[in-house]
Amino acid sequence: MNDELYDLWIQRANAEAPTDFADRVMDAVRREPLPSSKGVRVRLLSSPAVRVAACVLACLACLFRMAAVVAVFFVQ
Amino acid sequence: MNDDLDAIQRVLADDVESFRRLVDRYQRPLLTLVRNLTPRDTDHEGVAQEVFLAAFRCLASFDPKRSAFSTWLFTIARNRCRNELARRRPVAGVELPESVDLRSPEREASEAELFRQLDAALDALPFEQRSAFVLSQLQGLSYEEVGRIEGVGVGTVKSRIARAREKLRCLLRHVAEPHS
Repeated sequence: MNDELYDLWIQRANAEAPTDFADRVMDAVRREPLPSSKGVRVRLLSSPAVRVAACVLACLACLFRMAAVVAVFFVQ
Repeated sequence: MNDDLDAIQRVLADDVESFRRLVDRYQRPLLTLVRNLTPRDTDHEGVAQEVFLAAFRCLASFDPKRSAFSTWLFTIARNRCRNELARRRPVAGVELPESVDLRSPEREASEAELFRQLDAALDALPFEQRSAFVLSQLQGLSYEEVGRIEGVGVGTVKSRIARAREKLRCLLRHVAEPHS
């Protein structure tokens, strides 16, 4: 590849941020509800251990229900 | 980066102004990513702002054990850009356009013209190749980081970048030939 031209193009592709961009983002951020206000459930669900525990519980409940259905045929 | 984590913890403790540290640090790379992953006439700043807002809203779900904040942010940005592109251009995988006509009568393409055509060639790459190329070559991320953002292995990242580079190299070769 023509390295000089390529490097020039790469440099040109790197964008400068407008000076007021961060201010505009922060104005929009201030209008948002605080992330902590919806934090407990989100943080709980984002924990892998909690998600694994929830899946295990769901599987156990499912197995229990299946066993209960099958048990109907073996009551006697 | 520890400073990122400190800022995130402060934001989660309701110090919203600490989010500015993240905006200041990542606005440039994020805008570079958005500008190079979406069509030229896109509202790039609007998209970048939406990415920051999405990150702010989901900040509580960011897990520093799974990735760096920059990787997480670029993943949001990459997905947002893909959605933007899909919305505008439903047919994926467009090949290099005929309009990259470096054999035009002028032939003495100026640098600006060449860059415009390189931009067009980048636009024409399939999104996966384009995304891997921009993240690696423009953002300077490692193959591993790009793989995490793209959700693919390092081998796939390397092959996508190689294919993108080959198409751009082909374009530059055509430009160089008339001058040599």
